[in-house]
Amino acid sequence: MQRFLFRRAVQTVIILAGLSVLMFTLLVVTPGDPVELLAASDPNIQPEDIKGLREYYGLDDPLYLRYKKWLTATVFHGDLGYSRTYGQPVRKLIGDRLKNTVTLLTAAFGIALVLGVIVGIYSALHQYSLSDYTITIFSFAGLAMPVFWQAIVFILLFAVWAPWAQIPALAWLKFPAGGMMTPGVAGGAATIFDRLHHLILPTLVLGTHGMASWARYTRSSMLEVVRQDYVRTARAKGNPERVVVNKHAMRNALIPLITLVALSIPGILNGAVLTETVFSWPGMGLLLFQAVLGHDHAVAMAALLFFALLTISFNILADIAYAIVDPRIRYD
Amino acid sequence: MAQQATPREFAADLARRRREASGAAAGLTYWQIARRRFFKHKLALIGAIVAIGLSLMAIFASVIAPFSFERISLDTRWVPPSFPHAFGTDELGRDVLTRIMYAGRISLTVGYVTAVSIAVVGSLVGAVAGFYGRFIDSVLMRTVDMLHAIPTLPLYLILAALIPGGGVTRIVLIFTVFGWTTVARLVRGQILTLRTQDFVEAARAMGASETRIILRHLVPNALAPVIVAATLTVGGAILAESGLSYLGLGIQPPTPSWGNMLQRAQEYLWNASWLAVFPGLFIFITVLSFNFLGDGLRDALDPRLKL
Amino acid sequence: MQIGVRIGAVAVCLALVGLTLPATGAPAQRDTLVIGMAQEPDILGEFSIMVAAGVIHNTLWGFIAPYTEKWTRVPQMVEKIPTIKDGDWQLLPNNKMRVTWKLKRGFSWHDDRPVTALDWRFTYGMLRNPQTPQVSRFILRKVDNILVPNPDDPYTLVVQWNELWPFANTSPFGNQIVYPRHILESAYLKDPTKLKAHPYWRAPVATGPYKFVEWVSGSHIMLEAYDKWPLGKPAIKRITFRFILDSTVLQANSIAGTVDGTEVGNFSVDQMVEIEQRNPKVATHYTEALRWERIDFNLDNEWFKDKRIRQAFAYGIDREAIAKALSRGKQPVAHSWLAPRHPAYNPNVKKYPYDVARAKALLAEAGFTPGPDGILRDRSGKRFEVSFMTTAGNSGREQYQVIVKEQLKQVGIDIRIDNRPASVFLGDIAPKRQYPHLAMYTTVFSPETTGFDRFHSSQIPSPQNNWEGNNRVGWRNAEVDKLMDQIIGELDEAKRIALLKRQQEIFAEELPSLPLFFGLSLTTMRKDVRNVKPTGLSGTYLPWNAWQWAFGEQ
Repeated sequence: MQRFLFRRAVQTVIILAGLSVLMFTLLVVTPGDPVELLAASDPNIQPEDIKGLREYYGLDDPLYLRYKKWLTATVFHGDLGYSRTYGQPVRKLIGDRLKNTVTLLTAAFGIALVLGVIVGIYSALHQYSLSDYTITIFSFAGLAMPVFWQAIVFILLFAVWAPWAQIPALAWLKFPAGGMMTPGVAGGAATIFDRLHHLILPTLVLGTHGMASWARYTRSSMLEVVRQDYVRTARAKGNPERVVVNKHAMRNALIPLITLVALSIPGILNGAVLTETVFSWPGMGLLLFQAVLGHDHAVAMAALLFFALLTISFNILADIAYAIVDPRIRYD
Repeated sequence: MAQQATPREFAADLARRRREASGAAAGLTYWQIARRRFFKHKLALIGAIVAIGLSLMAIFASVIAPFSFERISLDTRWVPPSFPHAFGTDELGRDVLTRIMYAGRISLTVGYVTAVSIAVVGSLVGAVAGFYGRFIDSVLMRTVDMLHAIPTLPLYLILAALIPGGGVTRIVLIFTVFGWTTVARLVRGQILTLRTQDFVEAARAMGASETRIILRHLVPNALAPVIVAATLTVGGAILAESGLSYLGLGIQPPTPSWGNMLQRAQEYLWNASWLAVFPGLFIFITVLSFNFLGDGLRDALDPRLKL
Repeated sequence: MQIGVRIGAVAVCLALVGLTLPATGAPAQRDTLVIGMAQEPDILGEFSIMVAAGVIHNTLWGFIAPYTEKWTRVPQMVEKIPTIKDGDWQLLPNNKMRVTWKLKRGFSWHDDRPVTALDWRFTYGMLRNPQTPQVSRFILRKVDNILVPNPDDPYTLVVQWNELWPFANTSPFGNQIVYPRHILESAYLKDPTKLKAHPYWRAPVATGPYKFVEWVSGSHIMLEAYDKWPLGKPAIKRITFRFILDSTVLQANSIAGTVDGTEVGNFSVDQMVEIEQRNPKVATHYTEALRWERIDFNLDNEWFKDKRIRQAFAYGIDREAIAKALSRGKQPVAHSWLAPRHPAYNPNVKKYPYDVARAKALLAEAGFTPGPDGILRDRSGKRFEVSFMTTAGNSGREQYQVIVKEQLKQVGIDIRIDNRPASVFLGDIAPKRQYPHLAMYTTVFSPETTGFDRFHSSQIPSPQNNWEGNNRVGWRNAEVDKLMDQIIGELDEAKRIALLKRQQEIFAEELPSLPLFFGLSLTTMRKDVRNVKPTGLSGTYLPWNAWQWAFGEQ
């Protein structure tokens, strides 16, 4: 196991290195120089000013030199650089945004997983019934709708129109149209509630997408397990159906899902970028998008590598978890 | 296990064992069984019919469309769905139904071409990796891991900002550059299993070249998961195109695509909601159909496949 | 049956939850105002490049002599505006000048220290130093020195100019706002290159009616009233700027009432009308501005060198109809480059009404003949296919392009639309003249614009001069050059206006660019906030007079 971990760690470093070179090159080569944009917005700029700014930001150095500078700063000094657009050290900027994204992702992932698994199990146990077909259609539907589209529809439905919110007792069912918090709300309970209130719509949008995949996977996994001999034996032994399902079938069905956790992380991160953009949720996805478009290379590199690290770590965790759970798997 | 069987004998043996495993009556080929299983899957059938229907609509758009898709009429802007504009008109007075049809051409082309190119590139890479093994395999798989480690949207963003233009070729290129990884992994897995089979040794012994072995023996057997993946990619590409168009980096107007029609419709959500309903609906139905279709194909071709 | 019971149970639960929860923070309080923006500043203060920062500066800082809604400057942090007549603006030999400013007392920093001329002198030094990341030193270079001649009277400032500049009495050296010496000086002296990293720029201590409270990145900036503001204690206790980047969502918030007003909302006219119709509590402002939208020709191109071809384009596009359709008639067609409200506006320039026959005649004169597919061919047989570029993702512009394409097809011109992302188009293509034929975009002018950098032949950007200048069309006209040279040194406003009017006549005749329309400044605010006076000027945004605002019906 140790050798396995060591090998994976080495592989991770190689992957991250290769990725960083690729990303850096692409970012730098993209046309749309940030200084030129600056210059275009102010007609009074003189050539000396432009030259000074270019030197200031190191824009005229050759590619490998700029990469080397970035690499040494990041790896050897832990200095992720300075955000040109936000005027803050990247580390601080990412720190704030990270919390927000993690909150959103955890909530969405949680809902997707829990609801998806429940729905999938139900669907499997009632295969080919009307509910199964309905659920199947709904889960597929969740996957077939563009995320940003769903987000906007939800906003219109639940944040602007919300006719049921005319009833005072249901007023809280009208959700905020974007943003993470209402400025000026103070006090423990009120703040928590305010944050939750803002969290609900984006979570629902992201969550319904994830839920669809989880439902499908759970369903097929459950179906496979339920046909196995040991389940038949459990039934033949006279156990009530509930015990058969909970004690025998479900546990075995859920095991393969662990690996799927790793596979679904990139999908959720993708959805997060679009969702955060529509809801103005100040997270990493939105930051990455703006950094790429705004040519803020320091931020973009840091965000991209963060996503990469996250995905790779989850992959490794999934492999480890799988090994723990299934005694037949052994890594050397 | 027959030793030193000819490739053909071995293939027949394989087919027979597959038939037995699926418990079918003797005498049916693998593909016949698959077809039978496919037709049992009602949703997949519906999906197939709808997908074919939409594709026909796209192909014959210029024939069946009621209006010219470029014709602007500043007097009839924002006409709600009614006669003669079944889906209404947009902000420049263009007939929405016509635009949906032409946009279908673009969106479906993006979907199909992406699926095919990802399948081709992915299969080749996966086959080479699986067949040659060791160093080449290692390098290629590390590349796959590397590309897999980032969510695709930011990669698309970077490439989209880098490559100018707004046409189908550019989008397909962007999707293919980062999208071939899943297929490659699948194919590699299949090849790894298959290449240890004896019929490969036999073919080699008979003097078949490496290319011949890959192309004629390994790849056809690895086809099943590729077909399923490709079908699912069609829907995925259409969704991804709509996402990119929403961010302004996909198909550029005035070329209509369902994605950029949706993006434009956002502004008019209040007073002209039909502009958003129809493109969204068509994306939805198309992706749904291809997903059902892919699901059915997966069940039919090999239900044990863990995709 | 069972389903019904279940649904009923859920509904009852939801209602019970609703009754027990604490009230949410919807802004029903009368002491906070929320302004939504579709852009978040990068940083605050001098080194920012974003419009959103400018909006907040209007509220955080006092200005030397800001514009009002009447488009005239009034002294705010000074006793009076210097004039030549009064002698505080002196002309010296060799084109030098000397301007004396008397600062008004009573202005203090938000940490209660007084603002003095020493702060102004420090600000000049800080910005003039080539090592600070100041973006433009165009005006700063015209200033030789800033003096505080009498140390016992730190409220008098003397500015020494080394060349003539007609607007030397609008601000000491081009800056309306001042920075605190007591906070920034030591960091500046230690290392001017690192000045931008100072935390001051994310939590400024400023001089205006509202002081900084907090900035939650990605969410909002909150400001609080500064009671010692000499022009009157602000009635509204708090102003919060909320950042909602998607303009559709911002519009939704506006309609839902969760933001009270908007500025820099990136709205279209249609979206504004929608807000007006759906939320009767909100007033929408369509303010005349100096935003000039046009199509630049590339005068180096073999076709567009010829004036007749440019004029044919003008006759071949029905700008009136488009304006009526796309902006509901609110954005007037432009015939020149200065908007009607600008003091030098010239209504008597040559106009080009929509006339397809005239367009065709001009093109025929220039040697074009119709080809078999209805598209013209030039003298050498080349098909008249013209590329038309602008920023991608801007729906108003894209619609304009599509209509233009249709209309010009009637004349026999085949337009090929080719758009790029804004950062590429505005950062690379337009400034470096990389568009082959047509480029469409907006420029924002100010009442003090001279047009020198845009129309003088020395201002054509090229690799030789490091792409300096904004004469992107490449216009070379001897009479215009002469006029521009005069304008830039003409201190008498009336004379300057006459020169500008003459220049516009030549512009309209030669048509180096095709003016399209003058954009409006679109803002909103609740109807029950008094004294809201949008100006429409860039740099003077909606909250420029926020201390005069108060809740209560008009």
